[in-house]
Amino acid sequence: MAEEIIAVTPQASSPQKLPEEDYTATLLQRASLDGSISNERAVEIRDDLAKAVSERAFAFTKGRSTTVTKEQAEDFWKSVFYQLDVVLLALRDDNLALDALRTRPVSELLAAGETQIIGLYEGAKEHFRAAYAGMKPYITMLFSSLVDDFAEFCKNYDARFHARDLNIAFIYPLMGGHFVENRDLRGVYRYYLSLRHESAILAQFPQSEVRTLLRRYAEKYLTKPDLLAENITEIVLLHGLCSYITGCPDHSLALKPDTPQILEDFLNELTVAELAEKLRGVMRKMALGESDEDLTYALAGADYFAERMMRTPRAENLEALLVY
Amino acid sequence: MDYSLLLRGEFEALAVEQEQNQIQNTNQASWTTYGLALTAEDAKMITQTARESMREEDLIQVGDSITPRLIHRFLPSGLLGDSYALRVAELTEAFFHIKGELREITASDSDVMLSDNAILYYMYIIYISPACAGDVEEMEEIAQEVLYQTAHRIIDRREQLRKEQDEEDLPAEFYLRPDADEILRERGLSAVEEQAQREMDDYLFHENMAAGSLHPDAVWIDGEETAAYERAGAVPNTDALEVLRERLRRDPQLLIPSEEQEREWEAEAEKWEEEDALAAKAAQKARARAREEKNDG
Repeated sequence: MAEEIIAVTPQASSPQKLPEEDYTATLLQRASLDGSISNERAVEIRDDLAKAVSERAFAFTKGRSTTVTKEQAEDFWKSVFYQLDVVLLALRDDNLALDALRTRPVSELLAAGETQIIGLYEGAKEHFRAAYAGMKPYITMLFSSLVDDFAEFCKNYDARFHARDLNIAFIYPLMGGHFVENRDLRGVYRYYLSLRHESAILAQFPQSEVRTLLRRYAEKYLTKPDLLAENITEIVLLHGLCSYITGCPDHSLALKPDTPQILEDFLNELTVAELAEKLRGVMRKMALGESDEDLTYALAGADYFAERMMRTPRAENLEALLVY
Repeated sequence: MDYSLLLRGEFEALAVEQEQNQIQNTNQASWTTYGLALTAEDAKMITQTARESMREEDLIQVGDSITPRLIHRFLPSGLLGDSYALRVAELTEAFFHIKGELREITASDSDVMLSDNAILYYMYIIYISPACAGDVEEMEEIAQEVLYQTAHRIIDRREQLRKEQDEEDLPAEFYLRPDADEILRERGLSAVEEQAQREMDDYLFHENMAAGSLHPDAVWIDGEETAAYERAGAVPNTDALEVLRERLRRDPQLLIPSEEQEREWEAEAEKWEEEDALAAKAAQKARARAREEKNDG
């Protein structure tokens, strides 16, 4: 049953529009107001959730206390709601989510949520480990500072009693065009997965060339490679794309002295949207990353790259972005 | 999102009537052996007191009422006096106060939690001691000295241990290893085994204390407690509070009962509940029979 709920394919016609924060509560509130869920069902859901919270309190006290603090009880409520949020948001469709709330027993939805949370937690760990391994040759102080938070995440995340409480700072910026707003488990999963995609994209380029590029880039800004505060994949990919566009041999990251002029002439003929489309074409030809997901991740950044490259005055902009 | 509305509705609303019935169901046991009973008004007053006390301590009820269990625990004391209902209410209030205080002390460490049964047991030991002799206020005074101070010592000690542990803790980079989870799982298992062994040792120690085979002086001899169990000519110590004081002075960690002890208390409480339920059923039948006879008559 849990798998069945998770496996429901989202319908493109009526996507999720409600905010992700407190998704289930908002959905229930809206449905109660517009009558799309009956009063009886709403009461039934509330009672089932209260039962789940009681069970959680029993588990927390190991059945040895008839009371919990208000704060603890609130944490249990949040955890139970979060479990529902995770499973309903996975449907990516407000109508499907509402339908699941109307028709599925709460216990089944909670079981599905639990399965998803475990999957997200284990998946997040796996993604960060892979990302770190890929980024290791070029590790910066900012990226390195993620490791302490990751260790805390491994040691202390408590899905049953504090499912929403995570203390992870996304200090290292993601490649342009990518943001993770939510700081909950789903957000952490997305952030670590993004880092994994970025490390896979980075692996496309020869290590020695990446090192040289980062050293020279850092020198240009009077700093050291490990003190760079920018996204490493973004710096490298931008150079890789420019190299490809200007026809550098073997798409080397070491751009030639005449590259700025060739590039400027090339950009003068295009709009931002046209450049973005061309960049997507280049990315496809370069077959970035190890999987289709890595390529999709890179493609999603094409608009951002195009906008950055087209900034004016163009010559100064390119001078600031690239190392020749 | 504001969860307070949900909390108010569901947790505090274990039917008042059901709670009062549970309290009155203890009448069979209290009346048969001690000649004490609570009226419906008494039960209502006690329930009200319990709710107010919980509110004061910022606690929310998630299980049955504690009062029936408290009554059964304290009945053998013979110190519930003439104002039985009032005394039960006072003890219920004291229970939540002690629980709230202990929670404040142990708030920084969720692993240190005294069960309801343990709190009731310690309250009882203090309540029947010659120093307290059934005085609820005095009981709270002594609880402060014995229980709260010990809880503080446990927290301090655990904090110290945690600091030492942190110093030799795994480096953050360890968690980057692909086999980190597997290694931690194995480490976790051995920690569980160590804990089980410690619980068994604690339990044996407790048993020997209860049997009076531990010489009162033995508690002062660090590291020789095992030999002290069997010391010839040991004198049983009849003041349970003094035994408890010495025991906790020796090792504050012993405030947290062993798993075995918890299971025993739980079984005892379940037996009380069953007996109360049976007594309530029998009383109901008797009332029905009496009504029938009256109608026949």
